Formats: sequence, C-alpha cells, structure tokens
Amino acid sequence: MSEMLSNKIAPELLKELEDIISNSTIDTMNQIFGFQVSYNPDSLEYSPELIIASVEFWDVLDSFTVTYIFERELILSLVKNIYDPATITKEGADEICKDTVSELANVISNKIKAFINRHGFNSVMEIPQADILNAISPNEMPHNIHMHFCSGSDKDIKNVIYIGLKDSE
Amino acid sequence: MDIENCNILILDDHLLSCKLLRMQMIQYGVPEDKIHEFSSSTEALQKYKEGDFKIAIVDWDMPGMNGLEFIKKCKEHKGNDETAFVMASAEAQPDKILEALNQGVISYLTKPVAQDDVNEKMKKVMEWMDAKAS
Repeated sequence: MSEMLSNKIAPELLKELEDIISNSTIDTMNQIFGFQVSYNPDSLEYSPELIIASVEFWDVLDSFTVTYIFERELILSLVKNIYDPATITKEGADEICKDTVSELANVISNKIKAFINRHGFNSVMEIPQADILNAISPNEMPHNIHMHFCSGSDKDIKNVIYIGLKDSE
Repeated sequence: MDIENCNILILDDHLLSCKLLRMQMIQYGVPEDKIHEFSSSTEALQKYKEGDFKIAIVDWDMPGMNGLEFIKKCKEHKGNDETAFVMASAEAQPDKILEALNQGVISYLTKPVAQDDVNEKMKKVMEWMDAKAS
C-alpha cells in the first residue's frame, strides 16, 4: 500500500472512501443514463476498446491519482439516447466517448474531493481529460486499490467500469 | 414571467451536460428554440452581450474562464438583475456552493442533476424573476 493511501488516509477512512466511490459510480450511471451497474469484486476480462480518464488530487503534502476506465461500447450505447444518432458518426464517436467519460470522472471525482475534505484534507483536483486506452488491460494497472463495476447478470455478467487509486508519480 | 418566453443560455465545457440540461429544460416546459448551448465561455459571453437571456445555467470548472468569472463578466456588462444565474456543477462541497451563492448565483444544481431538482430550482428562479419584475 502506498504512503499516501495507507499512512495519510486511515484504513477505516480508506474503506469509507471506497464506499463513496462505489456509491457515486452506481448513482451517477443510474441518474444520468438510467443504467444499472454493480460493484464486482472479481477482476473479469475487459473489452479491448476502452476509454480512460485520470484525475490527480493534491494538497500541501501529498497527491494521489484516480483512474477511470469505461468500456467504449457501453458509453456508445448509452449516449444514443442523448445525442441525435446522426451526430454519432464513426469520426465523432471517439470524441463523444471522451467527453462523456471525462464528465463522468469529473462528477465522481468531486464526490471524492468533498469526502476527503470533510475529513480534514484540503485537496484540489485537476479537470479530467479522457483518452483512448491502448494496449493495457485494467487488470494490469499498477494501482493500490482496484474497483470493478459490472452489468448484466448470471452468465452474461461482464465488467464495464474500472476505477483504480494510486499515489501520483 | 412565463418560462415559454425566456431565452436560456446553457454553458458547459462538456457536451454531455449541455445535452442533458437541454433535455431537462424541455421536460420542464422550455421551448426547444429558446435554449442556446455553448461549450466555450468566451463564445457564450459574446452571445450573452448580444442577446436577451433571462436565465443562464453555467458550469463552474471549465478551462479558461470558469463559471464564476463568466457570471462576474456578465453582471459587469448588464447589471445584477438582468439574468437569473444558476450554477450546475459537480462541485459538491457546501462551502464552495455557499461561495457561488454569495457571488450572485440564484440557485445551484449539483451534478448528476436530477429532473426533480431542476423542477424545484427553476420554480425558485421564476419566483426570483417575478419579484424583480414587480
């Protein structure tokens, strides 16, 4: 466990932080898209087409990074209810996915910031930027905390969102 | 004041939030052609100066000119009572929300924005506008 996440944030607070992230993710997906995801302790394989956004939090002494990874196909299926289908062209789809993931990361990150600042920190965060994730699976990410969110049920279950926490480099 | 006659400016650097707020304002009863979306503060400020916007729904954290700076510039141009400024932001810290309200924001929507919250806050905005008009 890294210095920031294990030493500065007490273990019970860290557990609470994981709950905040989990609840915020589930609520945000439901509120914005009416889409149900669940926390999944199992690290199932992810689709190879993914969108990533990383957000750095820092205060006077320390910093840590939260990484958000969303399945591209999931995002595209969700935004079809929001955008005119004609605007989701082959060329425009990636930009729409990146815009969507950076806003989702922004919403969840602000819940994280509000939580840790309620517990004595004075953290600020950068504005999230999203990009296409190439050549690495979320399961290979060097994070201290790994959180998976799945959709579907029984045999159709698959992980569609990954959130990881680590000290900033 | 009738909501159907109000031009509404929506400013958010994320297209997703612009689209969602547009859908929610239509659901509230605003005609589609009265809603004007912008993803750039600079462009929105120019259009604000040229136009007649009774309500502006503005994100806080944006690259370049942020939401509070945008609102300040709008007020410098047209005064305090011309437009009802509503902030729609993921910023969820109570002291930050208070800061926005202290700088002339009439109401605050926390992202992810729920339709019920839009309905409730817009009712207050309309009351504010009616009070200013009387």
